[in-house]
Amino acid sequence: MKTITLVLSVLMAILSYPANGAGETGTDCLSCHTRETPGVVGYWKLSAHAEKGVGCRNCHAEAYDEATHQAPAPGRRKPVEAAICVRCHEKAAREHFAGRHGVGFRSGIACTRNHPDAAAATCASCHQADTKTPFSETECAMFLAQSPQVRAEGCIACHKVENRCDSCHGSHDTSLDAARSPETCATCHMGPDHPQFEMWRTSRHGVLFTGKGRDYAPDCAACHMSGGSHNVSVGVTIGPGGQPYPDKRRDNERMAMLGICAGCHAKDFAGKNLGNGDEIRRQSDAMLSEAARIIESLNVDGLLMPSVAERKPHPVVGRALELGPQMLYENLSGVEAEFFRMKKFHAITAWKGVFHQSPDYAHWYGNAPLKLSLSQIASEAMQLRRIKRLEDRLDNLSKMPSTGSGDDPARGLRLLRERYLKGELSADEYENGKNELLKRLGL
Amino acid sequence: MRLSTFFLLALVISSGCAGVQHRGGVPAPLVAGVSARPGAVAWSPDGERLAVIKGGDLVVLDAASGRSSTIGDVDPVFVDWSPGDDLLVVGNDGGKRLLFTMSADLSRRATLKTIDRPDAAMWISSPELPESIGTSGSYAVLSAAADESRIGTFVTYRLEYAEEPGNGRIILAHRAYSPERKVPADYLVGWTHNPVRPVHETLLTPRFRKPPAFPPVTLFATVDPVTGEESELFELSGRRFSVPASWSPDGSRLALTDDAGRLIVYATGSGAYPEPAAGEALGLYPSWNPVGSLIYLGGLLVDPAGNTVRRLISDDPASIGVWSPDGASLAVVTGKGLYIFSGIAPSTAFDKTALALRGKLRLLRRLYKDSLVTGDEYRERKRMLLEGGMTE
Repeated sequence: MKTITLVLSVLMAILSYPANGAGETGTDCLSCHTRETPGVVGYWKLSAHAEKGVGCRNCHAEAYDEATHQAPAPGRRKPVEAAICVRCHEKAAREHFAGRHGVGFRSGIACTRNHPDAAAATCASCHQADTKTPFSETECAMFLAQSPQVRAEGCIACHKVENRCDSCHGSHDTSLDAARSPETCATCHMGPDHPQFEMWRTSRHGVLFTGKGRDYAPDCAACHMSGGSHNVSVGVTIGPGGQPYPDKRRDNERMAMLGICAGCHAKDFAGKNLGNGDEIRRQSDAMLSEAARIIESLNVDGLLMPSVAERKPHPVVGRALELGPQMLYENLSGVEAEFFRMKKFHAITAWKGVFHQSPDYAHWYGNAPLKLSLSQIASEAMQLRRIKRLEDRLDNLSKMPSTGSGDDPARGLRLLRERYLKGELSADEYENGKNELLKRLGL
Repeated sequence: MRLSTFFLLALVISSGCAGVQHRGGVPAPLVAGVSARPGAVAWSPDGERLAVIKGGDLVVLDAASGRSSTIGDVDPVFVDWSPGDDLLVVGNDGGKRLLFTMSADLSRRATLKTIDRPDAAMWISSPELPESIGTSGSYAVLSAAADESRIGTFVTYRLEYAEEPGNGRIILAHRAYSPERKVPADYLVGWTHNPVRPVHETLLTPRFRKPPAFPPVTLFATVDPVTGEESELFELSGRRFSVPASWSPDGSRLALTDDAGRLIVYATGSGAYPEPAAGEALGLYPSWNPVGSLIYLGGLLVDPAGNTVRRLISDDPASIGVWSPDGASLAVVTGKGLYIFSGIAPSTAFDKTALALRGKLRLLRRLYKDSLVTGDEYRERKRMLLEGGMTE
């Protein structure tokens, strides 16, 4: 029903609006675009921009040749980036660039770690002021490893948020309702890598919001854009790559979030919840470290299949094991693939589930699969080592015709084992014989 | 001067019913300027010589004559003596540390590896070395390294063979997590005091824990170097990050001290909470003699119940005692320097059943390593052997 109403509104706006756009001077854009892109024009006519007299060329002046009125060739049309919007929306832009949404592309520079010639003035694009701490540890090797199509549709479509206000606000519609809608956030903040939308929607906050409305419970913007701020990182206590903030900043951010919570909750109550989230994040990180240790050990012993040497080189680290922020999700061994799930999906879900008040996500979509994956990695490592031992043993059979020297107390066991491996004894015969020999050895 | 000092000591120290008599006041040390820290002194396998770290020098001392030779450019921090009669040394090298061997006459030196700080290492020799974990080399090195991260510190206990210089082969790398971000260096050094559990031939892996709202504890556990499996022993309440401990020679008891320096002798498997023993001994570094009848702690020789047998040194709880291989002599390092007390007769003979048990455990471990018994069989038969061995 909403959709029908919207379409009718757009059509009525197209039919009822004057042929020349408000605020337009010179060439009449609408005379053609009303016909060629009626939806675009219709949305614009309903917008606050139209109401305030902001027309096509206010934003698109760089997009076409004024003299010839020729549209640029396909693929050369410049998008309307934040640099255009900032001319009127300076406060919002300043807030936007202070928050995590404002580092989307710049973190892309950092991810390649390949900028030795960067000018000093650009350091602040990626690093916190006067420190070597980067804003982001984004896994951009993943970007580099993808096809151009996946990069465009699966990476840039979200990470363009730095320079593109229309990521949330739409291109020609300026509806605040749409921009503030949790579904708008969900375009990127959903799915296995960080299911914040699903967590919120099924939390008490989300249930009350859905059932009773904005006045009764918070949505994404209520907590992360409090007071209408466009800095979405207020109250977030770690950096975009999970890197720790200095203690002072961490404490300030936490106090800021508790101030937001305090609109509805006692600070002690909210502080306990957030503190539990901190602790679960530490526990999750410890499990990741344990899994990484197992995999590193397998790599040292040459037990990863395929081995690092057998793979296509990693776009950033080359032929080396990468379990850190540059880890890929392709050309991996089984244990590494499971580690990727742990790191990228389960661990994040476990602690973000707490921060978004979703017990089920925290436990059953986060903590439980995290531990299951760790068990699986440990178990597979044991199996790989066992296979290696068996291989070594089989390889050595031919070298040990009599299996052991005369004074080898295990000689009988070796002979028995050899006969079993050759199929000359059944499993029961082997077990019985082995138990008898072990007993004679006093074991 | 050193020679005369030694003879003075020889006069004031003679064997008695308990093995030691100490007449008069505090004598001058045999070697001054030796730091009281683990790894500062090591006996040769034949018990006739001592390697001593004195400031930045390495000194080899003849225990009988007191004659010594010194090398001054190695900046040693830890010394041990290999069964092949070489010195095994950890030395500072700029910002890193070197592991190297040195001939007992201090004429030849061979670097084995470079390690990053913070790290500590010691060498274990054949009597402690499980043959069943398989090596053709002479030496194994135990090391502990701290990897400090933003969520705490991972301490890695490593056992590796250094068959050739620079060619160490890791047998075990056991990682233990501590929530503390910074680990004091003495934690690692303290561990190297006596990490190999005799008979069992597992490695002690202490782990400090300081959970929010609960008193801090140190969890004592051991790791089987063949299977990598960890077995928890007990928890000790206390605020010290470093709790040096000493195994009894049969591996059944662990001597350590509480925060007040009181001796605790914990019988593993007892399930009891570790309680301080009676007695007046106070110290940091307990040390069992090789037959398990005496413990040196803070200047005193005590029996395993904590009763004082003899006072050797007064008022030096931080002193460390290092027993000669036969247990007849004791080198003690205090804040003043090195003393040697000789003629200490053990009050009991070493229990030979422990050696038989060790042989069986080694054989079982070797069978497991060769895939002749399964992991389950290894664990079950090991449990049965240990239960039988402990009740014998």
